[in-house]
Amino acid sequence: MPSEAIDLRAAVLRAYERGRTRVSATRAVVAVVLVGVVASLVVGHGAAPWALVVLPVVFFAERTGQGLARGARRGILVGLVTLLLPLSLLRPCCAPELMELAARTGDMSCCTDWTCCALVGMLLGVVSSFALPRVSRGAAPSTLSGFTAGAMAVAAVRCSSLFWGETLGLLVGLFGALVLASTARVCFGQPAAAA
Amino acid sequence: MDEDELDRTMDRLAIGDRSAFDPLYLALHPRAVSIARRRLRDEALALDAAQESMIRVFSRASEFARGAHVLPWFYAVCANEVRAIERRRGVLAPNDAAPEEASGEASAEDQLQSAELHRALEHALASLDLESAEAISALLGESTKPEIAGATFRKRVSRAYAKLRILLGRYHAV
Repeated sequence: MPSEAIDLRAAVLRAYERGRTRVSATRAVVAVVLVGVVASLVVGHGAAPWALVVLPVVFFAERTGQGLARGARRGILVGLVTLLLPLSLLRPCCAPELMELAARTGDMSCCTDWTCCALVGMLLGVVSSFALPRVSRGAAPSTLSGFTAGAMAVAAVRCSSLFWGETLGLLVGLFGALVLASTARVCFGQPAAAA
Repeated sequence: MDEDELDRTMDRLAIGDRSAFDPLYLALHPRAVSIARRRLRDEALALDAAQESMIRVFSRASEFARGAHVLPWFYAVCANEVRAIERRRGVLAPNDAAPEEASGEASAEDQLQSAELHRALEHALASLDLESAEAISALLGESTKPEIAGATFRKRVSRAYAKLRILLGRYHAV
């Protein structure tokens, strides 16, 4: 190929990558706004800034494209479900009066119990794995990664109103169950599909 | 690469499959050069127009709607680039028409291509239904625009264009 043709090919490829970056940035901003609005309506205004966690995840996934982007989009929808989880489910041992008492006495042990959140996270992860897009075995790792990253990024927004122990429980439970259940589904449960 | 394969390759590139870049580039670049050459009749300007068209098309490839057809969009982008260059050339040198065109001495190959294209177009236009033919004719300025709303006219032209494209592809492989 002559050098002029190679230069043109390189210029066109750069243009494609620039276009991809622009589109990815736009989609990432749209995702942040969507998650931010839902979070502020469902969780509270304090949760909205946490939606920024979604920005790099969506940007990277959309920029890379293919399975990763597809998985991330589905993962974000699944993650939105975590925003709807009621606090009473995540913090069953901490009644409001107990929380007030804990705040006065400084004994926050009931609020740092992570087991409930981990169980809820695991349950949610197993159920969410059924929302994994159908893909071929070859595309499964990237789709699964995108799916998990998208779901975790939005779930992190839910953690803005939780204590550290609960946050850890929810995220670890969700992550572990998502990866295990989705992998199992890809390997055993799901019919092969085109990439 | 046929039209269906082009569409599929563009779909792959739109979702980020970089392995679709080279086949698509190799399929579209000669088309862009050919269109620009035919319209501009100046090798350097044609290559410039083709380059700009390719950059524009590929920079928007990620926005390409899945299932849409590549070629009508691609030809529209190429035509816009060619028009932009024609306008610039018109502003810079109003009387600077391409030498062959100005002297009326188009090459034998160009004349043959042009005659074939005209025949194909006439045949396809003759095969169109009346409403579509009227719309194309009005678009080309050969008849008056029918007294209908602008949006309706645009829809009619769009439908007529799609029919024309099918006819040209079916009978003349244009």
